[in-house]
Amino acid sequence: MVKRIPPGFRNIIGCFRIFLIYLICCLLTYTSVTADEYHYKNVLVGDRAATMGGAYIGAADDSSGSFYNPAGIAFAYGDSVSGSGNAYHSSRTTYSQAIGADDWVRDSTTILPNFFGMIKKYGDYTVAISYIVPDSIIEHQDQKFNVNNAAVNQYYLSLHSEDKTNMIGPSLAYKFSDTLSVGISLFYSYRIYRYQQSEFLALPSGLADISYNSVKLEEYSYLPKIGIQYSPFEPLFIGLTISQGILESRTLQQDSSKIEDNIFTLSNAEHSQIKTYPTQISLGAAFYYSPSLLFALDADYYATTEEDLQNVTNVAFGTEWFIDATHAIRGGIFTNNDNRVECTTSACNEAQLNMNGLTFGYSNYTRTNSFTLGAVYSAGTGKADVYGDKSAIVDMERQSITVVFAANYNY
Amino acid sequence: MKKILSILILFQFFAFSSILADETNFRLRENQIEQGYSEADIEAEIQFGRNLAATILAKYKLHPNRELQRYIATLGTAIASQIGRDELTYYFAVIDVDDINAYACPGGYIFITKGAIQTMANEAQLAGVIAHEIGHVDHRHVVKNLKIRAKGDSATSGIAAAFGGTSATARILLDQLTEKAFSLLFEEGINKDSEFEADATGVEILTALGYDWQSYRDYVAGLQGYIGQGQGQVLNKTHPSVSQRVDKITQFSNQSNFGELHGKTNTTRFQKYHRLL
Repeated sequence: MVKRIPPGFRNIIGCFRIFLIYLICCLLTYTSVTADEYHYKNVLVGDRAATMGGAYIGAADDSSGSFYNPAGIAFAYGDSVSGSGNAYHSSRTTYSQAIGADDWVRDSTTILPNFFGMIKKYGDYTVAISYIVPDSIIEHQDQKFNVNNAAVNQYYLSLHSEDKTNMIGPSLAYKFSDTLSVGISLFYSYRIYRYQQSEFLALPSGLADISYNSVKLEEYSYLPKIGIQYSPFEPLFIGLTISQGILESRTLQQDSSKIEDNIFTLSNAEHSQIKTYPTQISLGAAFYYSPSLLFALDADYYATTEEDLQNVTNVAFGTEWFIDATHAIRGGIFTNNDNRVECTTSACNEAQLNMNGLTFGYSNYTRTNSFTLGAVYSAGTGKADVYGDKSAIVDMERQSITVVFAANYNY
Repeated sequence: MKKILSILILFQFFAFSSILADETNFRLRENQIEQGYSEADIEAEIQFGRNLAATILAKYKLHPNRELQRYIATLGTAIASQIGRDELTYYFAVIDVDDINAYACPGGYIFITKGAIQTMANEAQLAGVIAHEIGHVDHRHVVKNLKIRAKGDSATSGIAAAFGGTSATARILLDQLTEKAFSLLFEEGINKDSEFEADATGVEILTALGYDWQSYRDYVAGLQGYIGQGQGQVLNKTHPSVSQRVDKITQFSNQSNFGELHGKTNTTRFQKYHRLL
């Protein structure tokens, strides 16, 4: 038996329904561009580097140095092959009371080989080639929101998204002396972002609105990075790097279809976009207190020319302690700040979320091999404009954990 | 006041640390510092060196003059008995090659080319070259570079297994490693630092034995002329530049207060054997 709705009330429900659908559409628009290109340290690369909080500009003396500071590979200890075999990366982002009283939770879980590098030394020259995944997000989500009001009974959201950046490139370093080296890396970068979202809006009338949206973004770019390492006095090495991404192409393809009030609509669009990457200037120091103890400190500055973004500074501190020649432990802390401006009701570029991280790792060494097991945990809070119109600025938080498993082979 | 105190503490920290740190290799981590070598490691080194020496002799003939060979062997053994590693027996030989060079295989197998001796003027220079090569063996330059150990953690470092192995894999492995060592000696060179270290050892040994270290420096300096004439091509590829070597030898000698110290050259004895080339 269907309850009859008073005629005067129908208009109110109709308006509310339109508003709710509008909000969901806004939510959809929001999610379609929410790939995390707003943080620079989502996945820490390497074994030593990752477990030292990414503070590696002053050290960088293994194959992951090609990413942190190519000058550092000039001081690598022999030829080597290394890789992060499997790094388990998981993050959870929660938007408080984003839909009615319900939180909107987005989980990402991925297992990725995020680094592979080879180093070969030729006298004072060192060459390397490396494959790096500095960012990877894979989301699968099915969530039901029990709205249960006069306009909408339930809202189902199912989404799948992938955002992965792959970089590959050679590095060359030259050692002028035991205290000075320079190096350059040239990475070719490919970013693929896919987003698919299905929604089902169950109405009290027994009808339903259904929508499907798909976004595909492909980005090709170059990332040259030059670096220098210098020791002003013996236990200390200072590193400096400058890098600037150069866009080759960026194509965005959007498809959407929906059934609303029994009317089917379909739309699609594809267009090229322009993007300016930030200039990154990084300064780091590595203090070789003794053969068993190392301290490292980095500061990364990202200067952007994009109007809606801001310059960002991240800092990292790491330490490495060899218990003996076989066992080493490492720890680190780092910041992973958002390059968007603070999100308020007057100005907001989707969200702003500043994060801080902790790292820990253990390595076991043999004469030629080593393996590392570690974890990177980061968390942060911020504000998000979930509907994209500043009508609802909600609290958001994110927690992320990466389990690092890496192996290295010297030959 | 607190700020000044903090700066002072930081300064003291740096100063203290620089004393603690190793002078040349302070970047080396605990796992990269060479640990002790076992008897099995030394045996593996000797076996590998013997294999490498055989490879060299398969390619280059020994000089046919036995008297010359005996002279080189006697001089080399005398020098090695003073400064060589006790656990090794050193072997010295002249190979019948016109190019100017000398080679040190792991385990104490040392070769000098006919061309190198031809360009020498006295025994101090010959002793310097021999001492330089003994220095390579003493410092295990090739051994460290190729990570030669009896029982390694990887296929390529387990030499004992490769020698003991009868399988095709073990044979291929040994051949590959020998080939790499051959390439180090004849094509790539070990590395600059190792050559400088061997030169310093050579000068130190010469002085300790009463030889004239300046003769050795003059010999190294004179190599540039031969390289310019097309001789010493391998030497040129595998060693630092002559000027760098001369600078380092002079620097080391000054630091060691050898200064204007003059020693014996034994020119007459040397000339007697020089004529046998």
